[in-house]
Amino acid sequence: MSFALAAVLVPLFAAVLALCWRRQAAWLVWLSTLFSLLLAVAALWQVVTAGPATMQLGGWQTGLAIRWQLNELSALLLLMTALIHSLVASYSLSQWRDAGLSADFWPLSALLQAALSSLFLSVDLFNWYVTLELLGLAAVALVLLSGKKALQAAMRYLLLSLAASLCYLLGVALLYGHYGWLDVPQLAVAISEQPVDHRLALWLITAGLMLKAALWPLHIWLPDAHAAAPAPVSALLSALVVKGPLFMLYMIWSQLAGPELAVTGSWLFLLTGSMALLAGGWSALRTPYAKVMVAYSTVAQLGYGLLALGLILQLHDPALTQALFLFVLAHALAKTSTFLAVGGNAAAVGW
Amino acid sequence: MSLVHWYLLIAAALWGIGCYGLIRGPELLRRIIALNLMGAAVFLVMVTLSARTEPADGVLHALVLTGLVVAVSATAFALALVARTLSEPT
Repeated sequence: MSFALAAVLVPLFAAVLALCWRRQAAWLVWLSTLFSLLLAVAALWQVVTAGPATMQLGGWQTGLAIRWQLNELSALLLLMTALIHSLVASYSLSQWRDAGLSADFWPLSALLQAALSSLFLSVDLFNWYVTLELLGLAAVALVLLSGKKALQAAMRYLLLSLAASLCYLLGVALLYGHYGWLDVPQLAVAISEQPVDHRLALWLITAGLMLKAALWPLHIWLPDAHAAAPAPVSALLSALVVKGPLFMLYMIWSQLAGPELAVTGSWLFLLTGSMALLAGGWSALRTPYAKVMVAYSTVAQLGYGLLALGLILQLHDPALTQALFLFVLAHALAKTSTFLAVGGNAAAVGW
Repeated sequence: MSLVHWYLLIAAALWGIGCYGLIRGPELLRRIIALNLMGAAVFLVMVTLSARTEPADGVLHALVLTGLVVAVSATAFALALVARTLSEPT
């Protein structure tokens, strides 16, 4: 657990230091991503050798404490976050002066990494809300690095992201009102013992998360925002930021939905997933701009994630869960390289 | 109708007004205020739910406080963005 904790704290401190020493920010954040990559590998190794671990932040008793859980899944996602961040930081370090990337990129990207890592580690509904907000604010600020042309897209992204967070928060408040737990494992126990009708809460949470993850039909903000951002930022947004809410959707639906509700939800996910594949692919084919095309491809690819989630809820096959997260990993790597390649091309031809 | 239901009804009305303002727009300032209304609705739900027991549930109060901090920072960020939009006509 200590390695995982350090993998969150290192980028957080790097973000603060990078704000203070703006001249050294690039090197500092680059080193911090490499260091947190090592820490994430160590955390994964710890899980493989010593098994999963949990931690109650602040040493409070269960119910008050925010629980952090390090298991195979969260360690893998932590490693993915650190790996993508170190790849993007290496690219930006070699390119940022030529590409006209603002120095503000460095502290913001480190903050993004800290927020995302703590999202993947926590299993607490309210802590998820806080990390979601951190993630959203850092992401909007990163989109704004493009300057004037990104203002409108960033504004829309911010408003929708805040509305989505509030939707999620209302769902969390109702869920807490029903059961009195914020801790996901305890909540799952309470729901299986004494289920009450918590459909409204779950649908509110789902609507908020689907808007955050840009899942069809709530993806309208994504192509503009991702295409307007500088190339390294688009890579981070498409590869990582949309995966946070997707992970939460998986955790919440697989643990907190009763058997009947899970079947209803699975049909929704299967339907919207297929529609995302068709609509996203069609829009990607029709657009003349390279970055918008890659952004629409993210919309389409997330459809696969939704399809897998729907199938998990219907068939309860552990192999499907593995498939979902292997897909998340593969998509993160592919999308990072695509966006960085588009950015490199654009820089080479002076577009 | 009990007091709890009454407050929940008010919260639902606030949420509805906020949603309407957010969707209808089109002024950015109106949308930001609408978001704050929605936030107020959520906080009202939380405070109402916490008042159902005696003594009141402290966890929900802590959540409201944290939520307020988040709402203030998000609003400040959004307003800064609006100021920049106005100063740099595209």
